[in-house]
Amino acid sequence: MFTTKAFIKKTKIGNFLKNVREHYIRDDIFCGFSKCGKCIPMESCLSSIHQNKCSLFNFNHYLILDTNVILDQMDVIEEATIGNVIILHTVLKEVKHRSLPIYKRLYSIIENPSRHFYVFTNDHHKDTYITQNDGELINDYNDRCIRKACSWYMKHLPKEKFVFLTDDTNNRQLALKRGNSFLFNIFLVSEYVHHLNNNSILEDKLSRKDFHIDSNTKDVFPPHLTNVELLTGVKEGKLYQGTFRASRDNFLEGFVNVDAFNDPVIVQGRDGLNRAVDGDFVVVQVFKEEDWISPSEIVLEDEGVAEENIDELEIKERELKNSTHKKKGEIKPTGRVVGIIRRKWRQYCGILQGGMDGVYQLLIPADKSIPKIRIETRQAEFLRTQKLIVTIDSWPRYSRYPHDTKRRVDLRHIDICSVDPPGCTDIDDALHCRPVDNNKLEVGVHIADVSHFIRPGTAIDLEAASRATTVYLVNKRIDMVPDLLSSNLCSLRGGEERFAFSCIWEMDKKANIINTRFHKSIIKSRQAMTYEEAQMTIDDKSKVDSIAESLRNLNMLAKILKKKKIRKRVKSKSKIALVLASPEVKIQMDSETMEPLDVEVKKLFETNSMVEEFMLLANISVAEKILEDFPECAMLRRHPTPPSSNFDPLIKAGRHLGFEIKIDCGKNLAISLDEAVKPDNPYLNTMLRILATRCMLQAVYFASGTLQKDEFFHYGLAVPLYTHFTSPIRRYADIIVHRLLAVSCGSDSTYPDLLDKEKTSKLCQNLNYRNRMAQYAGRASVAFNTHLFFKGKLQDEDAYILYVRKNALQILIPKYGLECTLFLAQKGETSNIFEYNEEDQTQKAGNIVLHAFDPVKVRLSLDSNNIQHEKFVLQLVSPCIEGFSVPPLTEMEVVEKEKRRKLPNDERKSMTDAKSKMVESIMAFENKSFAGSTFCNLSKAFDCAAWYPG
Amino acid sequence: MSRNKELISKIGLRLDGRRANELRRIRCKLGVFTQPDGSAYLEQGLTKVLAAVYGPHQVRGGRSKAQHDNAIVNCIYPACVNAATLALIDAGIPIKEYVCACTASLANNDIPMLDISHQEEIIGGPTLTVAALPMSGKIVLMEMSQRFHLDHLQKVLDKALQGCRDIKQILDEAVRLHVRDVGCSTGWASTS
Repeated sequence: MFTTKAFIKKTKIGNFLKNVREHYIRDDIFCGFSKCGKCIPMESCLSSIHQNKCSLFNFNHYLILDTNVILDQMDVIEEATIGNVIILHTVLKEVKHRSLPIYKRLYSIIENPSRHFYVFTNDHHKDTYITQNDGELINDYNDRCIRKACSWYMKHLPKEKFVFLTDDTNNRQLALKRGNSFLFNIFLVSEYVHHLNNNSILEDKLSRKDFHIDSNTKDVFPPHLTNVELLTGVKEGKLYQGTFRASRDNFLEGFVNVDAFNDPVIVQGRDGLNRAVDGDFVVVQVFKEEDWISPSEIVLEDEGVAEENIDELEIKERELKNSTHKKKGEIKPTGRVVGIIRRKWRQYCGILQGGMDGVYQLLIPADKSIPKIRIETRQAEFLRTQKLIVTIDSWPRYSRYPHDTKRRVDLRHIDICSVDPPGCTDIDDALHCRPVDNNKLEVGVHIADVSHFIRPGTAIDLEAASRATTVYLVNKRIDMVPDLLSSNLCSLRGGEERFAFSCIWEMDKKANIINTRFHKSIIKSRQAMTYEEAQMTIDDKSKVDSIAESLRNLNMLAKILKKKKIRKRVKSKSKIALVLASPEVKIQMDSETMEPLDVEVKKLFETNSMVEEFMLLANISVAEKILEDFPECAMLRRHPTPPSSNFDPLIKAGRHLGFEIKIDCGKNLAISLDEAVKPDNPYLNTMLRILATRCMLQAVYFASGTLQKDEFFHYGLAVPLYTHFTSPIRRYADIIVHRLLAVSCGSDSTYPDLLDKEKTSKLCQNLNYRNRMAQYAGRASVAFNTHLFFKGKLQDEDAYILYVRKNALQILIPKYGLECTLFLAQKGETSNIFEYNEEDQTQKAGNIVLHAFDPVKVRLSLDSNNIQHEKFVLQLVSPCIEGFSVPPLTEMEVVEKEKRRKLPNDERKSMTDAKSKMVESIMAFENKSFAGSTFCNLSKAFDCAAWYPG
Repeated sequence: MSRNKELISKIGLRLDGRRANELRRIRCKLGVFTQPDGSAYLEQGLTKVLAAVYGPHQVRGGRSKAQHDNAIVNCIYPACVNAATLALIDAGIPIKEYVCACTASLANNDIPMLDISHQEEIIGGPTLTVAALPMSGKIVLMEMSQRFHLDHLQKVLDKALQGCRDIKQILDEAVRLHVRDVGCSTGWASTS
């Protein structure tokens, strides 16, 4: 049967357009019950064995859900106790239209056969289709469709019992009115869940719309404008819209990126922020120019205990106001948030704030840029020691593909080996080098063939694309692809046959490339070595086997390649590779107690740079190849040249030390960095390099068709073209590059999204975002474990001043790669000891002047008062400033302290227990749930201690 | 592939409720006008086409320009081809075989899909248009918007040809019906 569906849509210009679409009604749609003899049976997950146990009924029943139930109570539906659910197509469409994230979650349940969900296409079924009446609202029409389908089910299968769950009172009443004749079972979700057996978890997950509000509470925030006011305001140019970003240091300050201004608009104070949360799309009203201020340089933290306690907040606001002043030249547009267009919806991770009774609790999110959240729970006691998160998705279904060896070159006879850090299980690269005729060498880089296993469009691919990267934490890895793939099937393990993607060069002995070729291959790595082992093999002259020879040749070539780069630096003006620095530390963990044993700065071998050199070469070769074959949609990586204003802090710092840092081109920068050495402060050069690193912009992925060719340049590596090809197990970008390369060498086929520059570009944005987050998570994890390590310790350490701030010093402790803040004044006070000189960036106390980069000695301890935001407390030891610094620890005191540490002090033990429990809970939660959304939370969770300015 | 642009749902139904291998509804009628020598009306889903044929008439201009065995018909939509075929038959122009046209696409980069509606075309996916002589299997015209990998071409083409055969069946039925009606009214039935 054929009918049409018409609806009227407003076009962008403002015209009204009538859309008419075909709509076919069918007689072959299955009801989902295998016992029903009337329908043509098809696949269905409904089960006659599963029982929904609810004390409201004394019989087994099937559930039909209304749209609002799915939208509001997704958390309940995700629980496995609820099964045998019929999802009507009308409902499914409405859910998809209203909220895509909920739709995705719903679909993952539907796809899980053990949950017994069935989608009934009621809108194409001949008996359940109804036409929309003239003037009937779409909502009413959908409700009518749902009711029709319910009653049809009851008529169609008189022996089965159906329960219709809805929270829509109107729908419920209408259904009851009609349903008299059919014994309609209609319930509110809360009623139903309340009567379910084992309902305690479910009941907490019920979301509520009726909040308990005291009528006499005083208004804390000014009201938002209505949507209409916002839209007209924006249209008239009185208001501006943009994304709100909370400040990392100051909870009462944030920025809104508005297109109309070059600088982000500052919003300050409770009124200014007006309930905006980091990431929201907001509308701001910009003040008159005379009211503009400059960003405060003060650090403020929310320490309010109870929600009602706004007095303290007011004190802090005052403090903030006092600290802001109108500096000439640095004032930025200032405004206040008047409305929120779109909330950035994601789940937040955090812990309960202690000291509150009853069902209302405050959750302190781990991310400092998110305000505290009020939640309602009956399990407060239990939850107090846990880290909390809202929802958990299920594992995506896992698919494997049969092996095929066609279109592969057999390289099993070649002596290939891999070199990686110790303990690495996801080995994605292996190397070989062998002499071929005429004094030439054949060098091969073999990369795990992940794109062979992960086919485009599959669940595993979509999940990997949304994760974008594997996250490395101190003693834990959060994989981008499932473990079986990442550490077994794809990993190029020693002595096992594996599929690889090979990039093979023919080189002369001077490391000039004669030709390059790419093909898929099958390899057998002879040995998986660590950097140290490889180094030893090279150095041990007694070893003359083919592996050792090949490593020596590789090392020789790598050295030449490196030298060439340096020579290039002298010759050409702009092409120059910078040597940058950021402290990288390694934490040794006790495998049983999960307590860190020691923190040390990572060791580097010659082989590290050998492997790196060839990976760079492979990436560059691949970038050239894919750009040639796919000029529009090649996925490349660029590192933009930073704007010169980024270097201001570096130049300023250099000038105070008497060095001229030239930034007009990369070459001069590298040379002036090389020259900035002071014999009395050996660490100074490294610090300058750290500063220089922070001046850089982030390297990003992009689709080649979206930018001009001269923008492809990679500033840090000083190459015109670059991409990522060598780590497909842990980076999604590499998988895309593999697919592109596979197409260009004829071993795989394309698919539409791969060749779509818009889609590639969109994917790049996600990859960039995830990469940044993964980096933060990694750093935060190191910081967290450093915290654990310092628990209960008191130490004097050599340190350097990195920045001088108005009320604090930024201190770097090279031994642990730590960066912390040394506050110079108590909260709310201005220091009467120190005098801040903004021009010179110094703090003066008496006749002692503290400059940036000065060596100092500090006492390091850990403040555990706030369990979620533990922080280091620094005290100045030397130079000695009367009334501020502390005397150095004597040997005695250290011993005393150590002794106390060693005493089996119950209290101390319980503290560490709590902490490790926290770690465990994070781990457990990771193992259970691996979906993208969770991953995001986790990375955010570790963001909590982000000590690194990002 | 973005999920909200799914051409075939997981239940196997397309956006308008058809399955992958189903045509849109085709309704057609021959001889709808009296003025032209031949005419036809064809409805394929929401696409409605009227076709009229004038002639055959004498060659205008020089006799040397005459082409005795072919004519050129320009069509925009596949449905136009089908309508034109009917109109030609109605006009009594001798043709070798029915010319039928049909589109096919590749949904979710995997499943070939027959007879693309306007909505499906907008949403995306490549569209392969094939005009063929269904009985002999000869392809008259084949064109494609966007692209897919060559590996998929055969199955999409097979699907489109299957569509052409299905359409021929429908057109043939309509022609027979029309001939019977016309024959009846001219008293042809009584002579036999």
